[in-house]
Amino acid sequence: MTNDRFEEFLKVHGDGYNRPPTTPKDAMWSVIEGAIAAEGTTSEPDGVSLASAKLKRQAAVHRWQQGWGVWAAAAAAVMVVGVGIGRMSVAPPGDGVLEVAIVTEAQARTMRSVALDYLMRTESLLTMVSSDARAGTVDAEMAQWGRRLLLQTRLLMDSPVVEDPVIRQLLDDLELILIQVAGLSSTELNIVRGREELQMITEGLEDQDMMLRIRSAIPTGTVQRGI
Amino acid sequence: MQLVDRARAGDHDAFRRLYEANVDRIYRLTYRMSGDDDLARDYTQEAFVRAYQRLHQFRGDSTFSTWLHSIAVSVTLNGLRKVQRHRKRERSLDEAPPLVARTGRVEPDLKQRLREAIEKLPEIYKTVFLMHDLEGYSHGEIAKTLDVAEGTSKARLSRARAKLREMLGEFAQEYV
Repeated sequence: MTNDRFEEFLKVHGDGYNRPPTTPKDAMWSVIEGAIAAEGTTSEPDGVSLASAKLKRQAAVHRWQQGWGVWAAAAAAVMVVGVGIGRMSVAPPGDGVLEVAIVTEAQARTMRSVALDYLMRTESLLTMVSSDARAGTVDAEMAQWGRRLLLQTRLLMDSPVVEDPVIRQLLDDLELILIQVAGLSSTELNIVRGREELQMITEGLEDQDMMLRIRSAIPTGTVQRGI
Repeated sequence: MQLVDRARAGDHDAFRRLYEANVDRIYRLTYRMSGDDDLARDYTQEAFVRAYQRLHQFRGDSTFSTWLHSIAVSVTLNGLRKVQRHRKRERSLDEAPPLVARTGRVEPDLKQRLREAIEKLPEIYKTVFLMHDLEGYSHGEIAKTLDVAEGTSKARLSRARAKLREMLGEFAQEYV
């Protein structure tokens, strides 16, 4: 076969390799839009006292979704200015853990708030994952939340502010867990597979003491969001 | 005022227009590279968010599209490396897969052979091959995206084709 013919052969037959489907423009834009949103609110509804677990869950989901824009805006703001925080920690100010290079106190507070918010949302999601695994159900929205948190994880991982090896390792492990959550099968056709995937995720959570590690990174006394 | 300048100034609609103008090519490329819709979405989204965050760094030395492509390729390659490490770890936990019976041996079809050969290409050759031969990027575009000389892009493509030819052996000849 001549080179020309082989090139033609590759172009014709190679086109079937990972042939892309139609671009899911709107679905992707909604996630991107959330990440660059400049508006939103983190205000918590006061005195939420819901009787059933289902209603509690709905409330958690609602708050989760409400807070997304603010998280993203704060994260984007901090990362865009490229502040040089020497070390990131979620410990409260004044304990000597946070080393500041070129950063204002306000920016440091924002970053702490971003990291805390991220950890609490992740804890809420993973609690739901464990709960669903025990109940044998798969929430269709779980993958979408996982996807958003995955994006946040990666942004945090690659930001210059995360230097604490403990936090970095935690983010690294969370990324792998969230990749699995983001890929959860939740359609009726795949429900059995979805349950198996949930089971694998919860095993991973237990093996790596993920919940304990996340909770250890959240300072005592912080008001929990979500469930 | 150009779209990029407007987006940099905080014009949300301008960034949306930049998204609309580029998302198809970016998604197609990330899909070709990852072969997975979820991953391709993740990488595409991440590329646009990163581009938004770094708009102030865009100097206009290349087109916005080229700049965005370099971010997307970098995000995708880094992401795929992590996924591969994760899969490798999972595989090592599983028992070794049973050996396929050799009796009644059937040659894999052309598509499968070609797929396997492409999968085996080293990353630097594979990226150029996918961009040029499957997605139709010019060597100029590839060179700017990967930050290499145009000649390097051509050399990598030539090497990729040679490796594919070597891996496919005589098999391909039966079909042309």
